[in-house]
Amino acid sequence: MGVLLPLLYLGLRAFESGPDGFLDLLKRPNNWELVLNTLLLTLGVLVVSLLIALPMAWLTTRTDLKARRLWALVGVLPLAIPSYLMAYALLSMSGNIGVVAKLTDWVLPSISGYWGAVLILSLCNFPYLFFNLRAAWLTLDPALEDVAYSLGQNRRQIFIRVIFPQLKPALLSGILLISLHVLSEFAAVSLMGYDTLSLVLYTQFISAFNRSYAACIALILIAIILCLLLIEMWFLRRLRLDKAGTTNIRRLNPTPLGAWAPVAYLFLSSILFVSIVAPVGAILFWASKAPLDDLWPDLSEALKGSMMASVPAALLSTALVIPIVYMSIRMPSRWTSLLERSTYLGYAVPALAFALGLVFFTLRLVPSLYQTLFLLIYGYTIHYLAEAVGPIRSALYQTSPRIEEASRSLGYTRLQTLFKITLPLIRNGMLISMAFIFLSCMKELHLTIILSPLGYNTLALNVWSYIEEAFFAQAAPFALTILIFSGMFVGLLLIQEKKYQ
Amino acid sequence: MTAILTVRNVTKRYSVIDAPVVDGIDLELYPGELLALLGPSGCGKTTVLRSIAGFEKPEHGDITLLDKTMCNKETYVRPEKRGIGFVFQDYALFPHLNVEQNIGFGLKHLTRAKRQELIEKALELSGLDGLGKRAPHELSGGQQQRVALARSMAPGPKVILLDEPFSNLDATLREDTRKEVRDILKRSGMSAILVTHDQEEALTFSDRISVMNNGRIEQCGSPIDIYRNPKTPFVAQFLGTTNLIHAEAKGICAHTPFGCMDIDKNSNGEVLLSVRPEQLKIKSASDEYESGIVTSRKFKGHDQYYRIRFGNKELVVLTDHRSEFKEGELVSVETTEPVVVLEGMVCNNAIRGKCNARLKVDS
Repeated sequence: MGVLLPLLYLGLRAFESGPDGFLDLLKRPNNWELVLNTLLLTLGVLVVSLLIALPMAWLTTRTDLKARRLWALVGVLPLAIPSYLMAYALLSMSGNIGVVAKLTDWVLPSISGYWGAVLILSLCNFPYLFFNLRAAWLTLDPALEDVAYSLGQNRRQIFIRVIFPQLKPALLSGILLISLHVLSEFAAVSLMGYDTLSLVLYTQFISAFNRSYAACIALILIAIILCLLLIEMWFLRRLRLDKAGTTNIRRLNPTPLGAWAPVAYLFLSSILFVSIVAPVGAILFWASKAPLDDLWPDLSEALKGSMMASVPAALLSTALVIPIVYMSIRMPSRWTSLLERSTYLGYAVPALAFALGLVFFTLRLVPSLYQTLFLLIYGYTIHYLAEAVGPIRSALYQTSPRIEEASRSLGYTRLQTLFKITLPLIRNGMLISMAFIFLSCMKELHLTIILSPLGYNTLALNVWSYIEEAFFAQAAPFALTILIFSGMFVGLLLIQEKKYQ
Repeated sequence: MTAILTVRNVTKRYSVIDAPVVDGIDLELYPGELLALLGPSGCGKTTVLRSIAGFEKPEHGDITLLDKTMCNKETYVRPEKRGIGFVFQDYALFPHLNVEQNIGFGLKHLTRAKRQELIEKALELSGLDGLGKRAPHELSGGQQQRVALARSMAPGPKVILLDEPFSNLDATLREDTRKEVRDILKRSGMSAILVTHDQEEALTFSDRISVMNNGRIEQCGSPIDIYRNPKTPFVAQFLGTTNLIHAEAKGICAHTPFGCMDIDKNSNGEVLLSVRPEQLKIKSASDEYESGIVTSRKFKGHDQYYRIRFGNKELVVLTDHRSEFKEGELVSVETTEPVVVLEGMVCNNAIRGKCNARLKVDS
């Protein structure tokens, strides 16, 4: 409901001028160009991401590469750099006033336009494909490849006929995740000067030029995402990849790289350099140039602003998710599992479209809430609800229902049992959920821009307003603080992943 | 003596299309009694136990505890209001609480001093002195088992239900723990129902046994009675080893492919006999008796099993370690006491085919 109501109002707003008005908005020739732009960008990012992620996943799972685990880290760490920071860092390196120009007498051509956007978005989104593919490759039964060899297939045939079909689910979920991110992205494309649906949505809203038009564009965006979800479902139907038989997965002898080893190391190092070392280096460089006077009050105010929205959002969404997950595990039924699935809605709807719907919704029903901190917290909560599900779900799975029954047989009601037994036992899961959401909110930009009250300051808002005007040095301290928080997010993610291996 | 707990005609099914897992069960539990609910896995015994505790709602049937209705058509008392203790197969100790806190968990309504006193008493009764501050994972399997029992007994329930409580212990520990738990229950005069699939456990632990199969109770009685006088082929086979033999009865004697046998009740016509291997004696073949061939001999030290074939039928015989018959030797067998005629298995010729199809005859 929390997601659907705002979306409904999005529709209402778009239809405000009647069906004809809506059709007029829809038929603007500009729209098709925007849709095409957006799809081209998504496609470009997907192709480049795949070109990076697929070889990386293979190199770090199936070859005799040295320090495979460390290199695998390279495929995950870029997650710590939000796209607007990546754009800022790479942009600030090139051009006449860029880092490279300042440190050497060589001027890096300024990146912009379609290829700039593709580069930046690929660098920060390829990890979604990488860790999905890597996880799939790690659980792939090597015996199947041996069988295929013994049946006279060569390496290329095996990849196409044996490995690729098994990687398909991982590939699809990676593609879906990346598409969702690219579709809702406006910060990086705005800096690159490449028009997409989300960017126009943002400019239309900010300039208050035509809000019905913004609503219309948001609906187009949602329609595209709906199509993506349907396509994904169609691909995944009747897919069965269980192993018949009970043998354990045995380690495969790694493929020797031989003379190709230097190429592999060069490839991985250049990814490491471009996606992590260069952007972090650039931000550090600008931070050293940052004007220090008056910095601390601004920084602490922004930090306070970010916290004041992120902490309540973390608490609220965890509190919301607990009963949902509890019901779906302890009272499994079609309704409860639907309820759990619905938490992913907030994640799938592009942040800008969702925020816009929320604004229309509050303006019409509870105008007093518009421009309040509450609205921002609510937006964060619903958008990141899905991130809280995983840790709580797995914690609850580890708690046997027998333990709850034991408590019932000792005279405690269901509710008392929940507080006395279940919640203490899933405490760690709850803390992890809260941490994930807190750290996500700390770096959030899209919802923040639209939902935060006038004059409200957060880290991300500060970075954004400075880099929009190319004040690279002023933006750096805020960017660095965000980098620290999102670094912690990735660290937490890695620790969590390790626990399940 | 009036029963403390009665179960009448309880039926439970998990989905409308499936056959009921529990199909019209009747049970009584008398004060101070240890009742075993014995049956193979999937026979519905745990569902009966969970229905008594209130974790499952039966489709219909009445459950009454001390004249108070726990469950019938109109009423359903929630588990926390029943005052019934439950010991789980995996013990279900609260991992975030220590031993004392686990045992004191059901005593929330008492003052701190009174609670501490009861905890001390429970620790002593269960032989857990000095372990009160330990966390559950720091205890051995047997100790965890006793904490679970002490926890369920601490609030003074009227009845304790034990769901396969010994199956998680290894064999050597199992026997000792069984004896300890039995002693604790007996010492405190507790009435309890034990669910198990282990016949030996049921025979040694309980005062009375109800044997369950396919959601129904096949027979109820003392361990000795059930072993000596099984009523159905299932009970005869599930408790111990037996030879099921089709025979033609005439009065107190039945004619079998292995010769004539004395039977325990006057019958006429076709009957099914249950003959325990230890009720048979082997002797050298002679013309007066049917003779068979020894097909195998399994020497186990204290005793030994022989398999003897008569035509296409085989008999299992248990003797002490002294007898010396060789494989291939011609022998005869005779019974040492009247053997059991199973109930309801007197088939007339018309339904004989059906009978044969249903019974696994000749072990």
